[in-house]
Parts: sequence; C-alpha cells; structure tokens
Amino acid sequence: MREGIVYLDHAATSPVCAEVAEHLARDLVELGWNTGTRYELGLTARKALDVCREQVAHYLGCETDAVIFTSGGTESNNIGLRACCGQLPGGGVLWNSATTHPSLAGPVETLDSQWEVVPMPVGPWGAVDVDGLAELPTPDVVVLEWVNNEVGLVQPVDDIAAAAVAANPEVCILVDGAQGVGKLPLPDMASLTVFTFVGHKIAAPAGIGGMMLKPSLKLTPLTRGGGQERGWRPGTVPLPLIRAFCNALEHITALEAAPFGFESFDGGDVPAPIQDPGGSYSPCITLLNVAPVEGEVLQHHLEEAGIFLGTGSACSSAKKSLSPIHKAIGMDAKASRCTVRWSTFPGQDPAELDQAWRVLVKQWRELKRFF
Amino acid sequence: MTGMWIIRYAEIALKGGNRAFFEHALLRDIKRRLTGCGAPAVTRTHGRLWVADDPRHREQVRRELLLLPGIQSISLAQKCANDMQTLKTRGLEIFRAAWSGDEPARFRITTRRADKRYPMRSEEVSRELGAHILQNAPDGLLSVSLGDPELNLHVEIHGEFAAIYLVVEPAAGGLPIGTGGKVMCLLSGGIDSPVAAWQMMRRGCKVHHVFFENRTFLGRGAFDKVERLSQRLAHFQGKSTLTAVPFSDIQVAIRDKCEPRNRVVLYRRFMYRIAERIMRRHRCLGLVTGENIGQVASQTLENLRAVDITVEAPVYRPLLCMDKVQIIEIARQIGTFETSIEEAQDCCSVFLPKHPETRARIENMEADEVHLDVAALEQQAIEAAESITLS
Ligand SMILES: Cc1ncc(COP(=O)(O)O)c(C=O)c1O
Repeated sequence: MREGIVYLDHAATSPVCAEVAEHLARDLVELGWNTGTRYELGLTARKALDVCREQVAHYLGCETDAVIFTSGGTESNNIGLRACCGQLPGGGVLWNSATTHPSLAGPVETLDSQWEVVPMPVGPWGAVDVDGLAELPTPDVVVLEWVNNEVGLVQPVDDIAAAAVAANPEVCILVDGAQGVGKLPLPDMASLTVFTFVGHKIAAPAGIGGMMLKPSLKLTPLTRGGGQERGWRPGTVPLPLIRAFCNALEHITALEAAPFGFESFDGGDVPAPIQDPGGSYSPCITLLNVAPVEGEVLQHHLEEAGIFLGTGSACSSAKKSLSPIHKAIGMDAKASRCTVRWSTFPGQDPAELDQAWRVLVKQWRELKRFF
Repeated sequence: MTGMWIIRYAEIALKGGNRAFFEHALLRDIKRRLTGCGAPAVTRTHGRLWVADDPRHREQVRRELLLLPGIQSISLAQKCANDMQTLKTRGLEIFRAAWSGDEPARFRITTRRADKRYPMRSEEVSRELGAHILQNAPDGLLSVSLGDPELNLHVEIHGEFAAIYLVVEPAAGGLPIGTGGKVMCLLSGGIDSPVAAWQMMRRGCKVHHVFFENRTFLGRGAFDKVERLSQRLAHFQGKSTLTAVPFSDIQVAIRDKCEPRNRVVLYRRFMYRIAERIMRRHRCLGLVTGENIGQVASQTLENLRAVDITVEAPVYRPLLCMDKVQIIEIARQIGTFETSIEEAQDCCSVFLPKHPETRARIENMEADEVHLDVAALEQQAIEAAESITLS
C-alpha cells in the first residue's frame, strides 16, 4: 500500500499486499509454464495448479473438482448464470435479488423470454424476507449476492437456499460471494450450485477470480476453446495469478475483520451508519449518512487529507441513476448523494481508522454550513 | 495509375505576398498530421499540395485532411499519362467504377488545363471524353448535363500527367494554425469551449487553455477531462499549454460574502481577470470563451457585459450566435463530444444560487466585490496555478 494515505475503498478494490506481490513476481518468472504441456516444466505447473485448486476447495468446503478459475467476478457471474439457466433449455422461473451487482443483474436482464424472473421479497433494509419466499412460484434458478457491495448487508444465504430447495430439490442456486470471501464465515456450500469470487477484493491482483461450480452440471460454457477448467473457462491457465490468489486468501483468512464503531469522540454530532440495527452486516463495508453534505464533496475534501473512500459503488458512482440497493432501502436521489462508503480490509490498523474517522467528522462538520 | 490526394487551399492563394508563408505552414501541418497514417509523401506543385494515396491508410488520411485548417477541399484522384488515348481509357474506368451502369444518370466532364501548351483546349478534351463515355454506355441511360450533373468527372491536365477524379470534398477551410497569432481559451470541460477553441484554430490561431479548478469540492475528475480535451485539440494544433488555476478559495469567498444571485457573474469576473493575466504571460492577443447568448439562463447580454467590462483584452466568442445543434455537430466532427459529455462533477450545487442573476448591473457587481479582497484572492490563485504542455 502506498505510504502516507489511508485507503478506505476496499469494496472497490484492494491493492496487492507486499507478500503476495513478491511471490507473484517470482512466479511470473519461474512458474510461467503452460499447465497443459507434458514436459517436466508443464507437469510442475500442473501440480502447482492442483495444489491451488485443493486449497480453494478446502477453504470453501467443496469438492476439488468444483473449483474453476476465471478472470474475475464479472466473468464468474456470467459463466455461473449461463451454467444454471443452461440446465433448463426450455426456461423456467428465476428468483432474483433486486440488489445484485451489475455483473449479475446485467446477465439476468438479458435472459430470453422463456425465463420468468421474479424478485424475492425484501424487508425495509433490503434483506430477503425468507418467510415471504413461500408465496413465490417454484424456482428453477435462484440468484443472489451474499454481501452487498454498497451497504455491506449480508443476505441469509443458508435460509434462502433451504427455502428454495424445499420448494424444488433440483433448484440451481447462484451466489455472488465477491464481497464476503476471506472476510466473513462462509455460507454452506452444500446446497449451492455456483458460488463466485474475485481476487482483487482480497488483495490479489485484478484479472483473477473463480467459482465453485457443481461438477454434475451439464457443460454450457460462455466461451469455447481448448477445454481448460473442465471446459467452463477455456484458455491458457494463468498459474502465477492463481497462486497469487491463493496466497492472498491464505493471508486474509489469518486476519481478523473487526467492525469499526463510528462513535462520537466528543459528544458532538457524527455521521451515522445506514444500517438496520438488528441486521447482519459485513464488518468491512459501511454506508454512512453524511447529509446534508454531498458524499462527493466530502470525498474530495478527504482526498486532500490523504483519505480515500467511495461514494456509493465504484462501478456506479459516476452515474446519476439511483443504485438498486439504495432504492430498495427507500433512499431517494438526494439521500443517495449524501452518503459515503467506508470500506476496510481485515486487520487494518485501528489507530489509522480512528484517525481517519476523526478527520472525516471534522470535515463533515465544517462542510455542513455549505448545504 | 497511382492514387493521389489533391489538396486545395483557395483562401491562402488569396493572401498574395504571404503565400509562401501560408503554404509552408500548411505543408508542415499536413506532414505532422499524417505521420501516424504511414507518413505519405507530400509535394507542392501547381498551386496545390499532393499527398500520395495508400489504400491501407486512406480513411484515416481522409479524416485528417478534412479537419485540417487551411484546406479548402480535397479529392482522391487517379494520376495517369495525359495523352488523349489514356484519358479515355482511364476516364471511362473511373467513371464506370462510380456508376452502376443500369440506372439513368446525368453527367458532365470538367477539364482544367494547367499546362496551356497542351495541344487541345479544355472544351475539346471534355467533348471527346464525354463522347467516349456515352459510346460505351448502354443506349439512353446517360445524358449530359452541364448545369446539374450527378456525376462530374474532373480532368486536370498538367505538364507530364493528368489527374482524374469525381468527387470534391469540402474540408474545414480557414487558415493554417499558427498563422493568425495566439489566444487563450477558457476551457470548462463542457461541449462548447473546445468548439470555440477549434473555431479560433480554424482561423489560424494557436490556442492555449486555462481551466478554473475547484479541486477541493469536485476532485480531479474535471481536470482529467479538460486535459483530455486539450490533448485532443493539440492533435490539430501541436504544442500548446493548459493552465489549471485553483478556484475553490475564490468560490468559497464569493459564496460566503456576496449576494447569492450575483455569484455566477462574480465567478466569471474573477475568471476573466485571472485569465487575462495568464494570457499576458503566454503573449496571447485575446481571450476565447464558449459563451453563447441565452444558452444558459445566466448567459445574457447584460451578464456578458458585466463580465466583459473587467478586462482590457478582447474577448472572442466564436459560438455567440450559433445554435446548440450546430455546436454539437462540430464537437462530434472534431472528436471532443464524447469526452465532453462524460459525467464528471463540473459544478457543485454548493456554489450555485437558487435564482441566478440574469440582468447583472455593473454597479451592483462592483459594489458586491468590495466585500472581497479581490487582489489577494487573484494573486493567490495565480501563484498556485500550474501549467502543463500538450503536444
Ligand atoms: C458484489 C460484486 N460482485 C461482482 C463484482 C465484479 O468483480 P469484477 O469487477 O472484478 O469483475 C464486484 C466488484 O466490483 C462486486 O462487488
């Protein structure tokens, strides 16, 4: 991490940590062989790849064969949705979460008309209302995110999966795990069909991601090629990046993700987290209500102090349209503009966070007079 | 037969004694702009410039030439021997390549003899070539129309060769950049100001840029945009500068101390005065803005006057009377539109009043500025200004 800054936008991406970078630099030179070759170098690479796959399978709690490496979260979500829906060529019913990341919402939107997409009911804070699921038509596919990237909300994945399986034991369930992997205790993989993840959210480089994909699925890949990754993601396997992912995973799981308090340190007014007091949230992502100050103005003032945090989601913060999760929790355009997203990395220095919080509060108080 | 671009520059030709200077500037610009398109040979003869055609780069060369100030029009011609037999064969070939042969068409031949020693007069060449084309076409489909032809086959006869072409494409016109002196443009990141800069460049001016940046409130996104816009403009004009002037403190001071309704006009008075001082450093002869009467509620004649009065330098407003659709059309042509419409915070609700003044009175503005330390604010901004060079 660059010296002298406080980086609080880990939900957007995390820079590669020094240990991972060091290993990667060495691997790029020493392990850059094609895992599909039969000479000794290739066999060595192939073995290293097997070790990585086992490590990820062990972390996820799934079969080794189920682990597929891809280029990232977007690709995993696209492959995953194609895999789930591809099992039913005649279409069916898809239970959808209205608050997913565009990399999942996008492919769901472009499904053909044979698919009936029904939104899962949600409570006032965006969490899926599990009891309400009984009212929906029997699902063939269920699509949801585990941890929301904008507000940090954790969906009750196990309960949703149980409800779906109860309705249809053959159901395919796709869960986007991008924001939770390495940071929270995992949901149960046993009832999931696809579970996606991405490296750059855990301080591996961008360009590597992956997924758990049940080996029993009929092959319906997005791209065709040389058959690597069981044919789901053909293309020469980027072993050094996969090793970097595994290193980063090992590194992050050894760290503790502790929630930050956002408390007043002087009895004065401070921005409040936008959270259901009884809800379940990631300790790494908090949306703060900075009204009446516009989030972007606060962001730029903090930037001058070397503190970097996001407004909304990195992917949509330049757009003027309201994000689905903001809408789901009842915010209007103005309320949505008056937020910043504070997102941390497990193990981030509490003193650094405290200092950043004090600066944020001070800036916020000074800026209030402008609004 | 080889392909050649014919480049015409009527306006320069009018410039009498300075002709060599203008031609030289144009030649230099063409060579510079075409280095990325295979650097074709450029030659100067018979009051035109000639650029060798290479089909692999043709479209790119066309795009560059059409947007090169100083060029009146261009034609992609075929060069061949100038004896009558060759003119007939090649002329027919070129004509047939453009005409399907099964639709009726009106045509004419336009011959121009640059070499007066050529044994036939222009009309004779046209007549003979026209007759040849008619003979070789199915009966009754082609007719000659001198006044309203659909296809006009041009034949230019030069000393050792002829050039034949069908199409004359109008280009940007104007004068080669740098032949008209230097100006400084207030660039904002919107659609208009890059077009204003381009209009000045099209008339031969070299344009430097100044940008007023509220980084504290809006971040670096707007500067990034302006930098890319001025980089795009540098594609046309070569080396130029972009000066970013920090503007947060001035906006905060105006917001805190002056009448809300006066804010927008006061911001612009500061911008003009600061731009004028920066302009002097760069030895520019005037300021350029993208202002346009009535485009936004605050761009009224009264407001323009209340701003204009603050500087001695002439302020050029090439878009003053243009319509938005025209401006957008030019922005698309010069390739700034897409960047201009990218979303970036370029003004903040914090600084905009609910009811901006539309009929500013100079006395009121001056009276309001008394609440500010104008000289100190301007001095600080100028000292903290940073310039970058674009090329
Ligand atoms: C919840 C979620 N899913 C998927 C992605 C997509 O990851 P990527 O942009 O690396 O493909 C992200 C990150 O932006 C995310 O936050």
